[in-house]
Amino acid sequence: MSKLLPLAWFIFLGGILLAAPFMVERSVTMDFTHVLEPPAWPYLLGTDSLGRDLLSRLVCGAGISLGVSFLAVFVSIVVGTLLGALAGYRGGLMDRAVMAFVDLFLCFPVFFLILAVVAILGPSIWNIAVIIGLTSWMGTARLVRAEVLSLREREFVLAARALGAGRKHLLFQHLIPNAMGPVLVNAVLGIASAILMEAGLSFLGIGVQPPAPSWGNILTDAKATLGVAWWLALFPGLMIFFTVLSANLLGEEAQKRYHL
Amino acid sequence: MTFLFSSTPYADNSGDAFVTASIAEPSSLIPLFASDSASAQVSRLIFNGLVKYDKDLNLTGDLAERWEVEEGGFLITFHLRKNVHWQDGQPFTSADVAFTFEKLKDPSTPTPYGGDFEKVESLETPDAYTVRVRYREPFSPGLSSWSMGILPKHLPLRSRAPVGTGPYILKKWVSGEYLELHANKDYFEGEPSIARTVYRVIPDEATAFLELQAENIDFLGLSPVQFKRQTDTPFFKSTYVKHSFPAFSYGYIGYNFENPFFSDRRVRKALGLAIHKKEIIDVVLLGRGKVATGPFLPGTSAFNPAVEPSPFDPVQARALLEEAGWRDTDHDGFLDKEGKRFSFTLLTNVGNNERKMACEIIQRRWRDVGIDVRIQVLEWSTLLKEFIDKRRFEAVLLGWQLSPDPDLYAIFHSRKTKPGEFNFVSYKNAEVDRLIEEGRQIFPEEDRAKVYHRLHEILSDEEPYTFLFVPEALFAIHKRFQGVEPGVAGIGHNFIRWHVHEDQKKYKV
Repeated sequence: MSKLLPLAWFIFLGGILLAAPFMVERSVTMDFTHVLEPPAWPYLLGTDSLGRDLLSRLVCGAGISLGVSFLAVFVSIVVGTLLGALAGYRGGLMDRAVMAFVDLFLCFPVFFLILAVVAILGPSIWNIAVIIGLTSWMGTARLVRAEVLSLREREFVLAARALGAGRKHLLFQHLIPNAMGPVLVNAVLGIASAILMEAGLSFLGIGVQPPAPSWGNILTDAKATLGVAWWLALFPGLMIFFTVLSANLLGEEAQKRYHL
Repeated sequence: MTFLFSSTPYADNSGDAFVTASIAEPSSLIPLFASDSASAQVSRLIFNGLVKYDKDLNLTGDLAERWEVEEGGFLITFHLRKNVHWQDGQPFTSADVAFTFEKLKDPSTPTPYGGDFEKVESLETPDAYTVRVRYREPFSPGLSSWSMGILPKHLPLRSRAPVGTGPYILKKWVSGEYLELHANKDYFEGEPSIARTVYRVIPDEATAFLELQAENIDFLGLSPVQFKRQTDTPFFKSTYVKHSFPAFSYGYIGYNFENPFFSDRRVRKALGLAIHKKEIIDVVLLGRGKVATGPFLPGTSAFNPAVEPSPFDPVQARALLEEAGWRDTDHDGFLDKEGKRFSFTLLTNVGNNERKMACEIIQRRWRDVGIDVRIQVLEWSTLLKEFIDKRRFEAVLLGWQLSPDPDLYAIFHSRKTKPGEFNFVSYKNAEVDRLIEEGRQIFPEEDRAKVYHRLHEILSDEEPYTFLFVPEALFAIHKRFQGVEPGVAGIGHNFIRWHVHEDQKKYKV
């Protein structure tokens, strides 16, 4: 169960992502004669308050929500891995400086930091993804530093060094690749929190901007029509729920595999 | 929280209570500082002005029994009521009016209302019940500015323990939870029938609606969806009465005149013609509203009924745009001119679902005539400080809450275009300036109306704003309240005459 569900769900999401390009037009087409209609043919999951098809908005929203969170996780891994590896490998003053920086970043209530940054830079899909990424790299940095600290004392590193490997070669050919296991686990778990973060920001109206759909901003519409249109709250809610659950289960499974 | 409002309601033992929800906590109950609607609402129950608006929006006396406009508008003499006492028992006199005026003029007082009194040259109090206000020039909006709540001279200004002359006395203020007011037994118009009013701070509209459903509040403003669909149940029909009347506001799109796109009148006209306003009202407001034709409300004297709303005509919109040089030369579906695509951002504020929906509909309509529009929904203070005050915007979809006086000086006069001032679209028109100034110097209603009728025509023709709609204010009020009389001025005007039959009283102890 705990292995099958996440795999099945991610295969399902993959299918959805393939279908998304064909539904973009449909997702922004407004039909004012079918406003807030419950699930029925031809609107299988009902319509929103502007008469748009919820099914196609969920499908296109999947692309946007997942895209934002994958990009955010990518940014956080790149930043976290580089800084963590640098700190672990160089040690000394560099190590202390980077770790102080990590502690500093951990002090901020991330959500409010994001709110402030979005307020200044303005909301856009790219901004949101990069900001979420730049505020969630600290865990990765700590993991990578710890791994590198132990790896750099191992014999294969010594051997490489004895063969005359340079600093760059050591870092990128030996240390970082060998530290990637826990990083990938962390990344899978990170996807779950990035999706929640994006949904939260969009729900507050400062994430993905209309008319582009995301699971979070569909929920905003649902809030205004709560009690009238249950389908607007239920379906995007389920999408978020299953995606976050699957990412978490997958992450935990991987954790077991790597004996972390 | 719940038990507090159901089993043992408020610590008093007489009459019924009127419980309502306020979306925000009042910032200050002192009328000089009460600039947000939550503060103004409560403050109005505690303080009185010299004049007030009645049910039909005519100015009548409040603390002033009557007044005279003399010397062609240079002098206004107010004759004060003689039987008025402050809520602590001290008599109300002209010295209190003079004190309030001093506070308003004091540059160290952080009040947004100081501008209303700039044209006052002097204020004299020949005796305890006469106030003579001398103006530097005739200034007709000045009369209504005296609806400002009058403060007691003998007490310090305490925003959490205000003492006024009004029908209700603040008894309790629990931060973030509620404000409780008790009827003033010595109120000069008679003791209000409802013994207590309670403002519960409920910052979320959906939560407030659930509280209404649970009968924990007696009154709530509703969104169009709530009004039309969610309150269409037998329970609601048997428990609440729903009312609607034209709200004192209008929604518009403002164009930044400093942007070369919009300085051309033909472009603004085309943008207006491409919008189907009726469709916005039908879909966003679910039909609860009217098409706006200008900055005045239908039914007021300033409103010019001869001004036609601009029709929905995308063909003519395209023709006007072409005339202005916008053509689709590269056949990408968007208009362009000198290699530049007609593309801009429409801003609106977070938290107002109706505005967001209107933006999305308008975006589609503008797309149809070949204009590429992005929508940005911004947090309110960011929108004001970073974009509007700094003029870093192209077009905005917002609304104006109006006062009953038709004066347009703040919004359309060319002298009000500095950062932070309200003519943020930087509209400059010499004739409009002249008419606005003229309208401020005329006192008789009919003569003033002529000036505003002309202004209405010009603004509709020039289209510095595309006027979209005048929404309806929608609300539900508990059935047990008798004597509610919705009018042009809303329903608050006779609140102190509302009452509940003995056997229907809900809050007893």
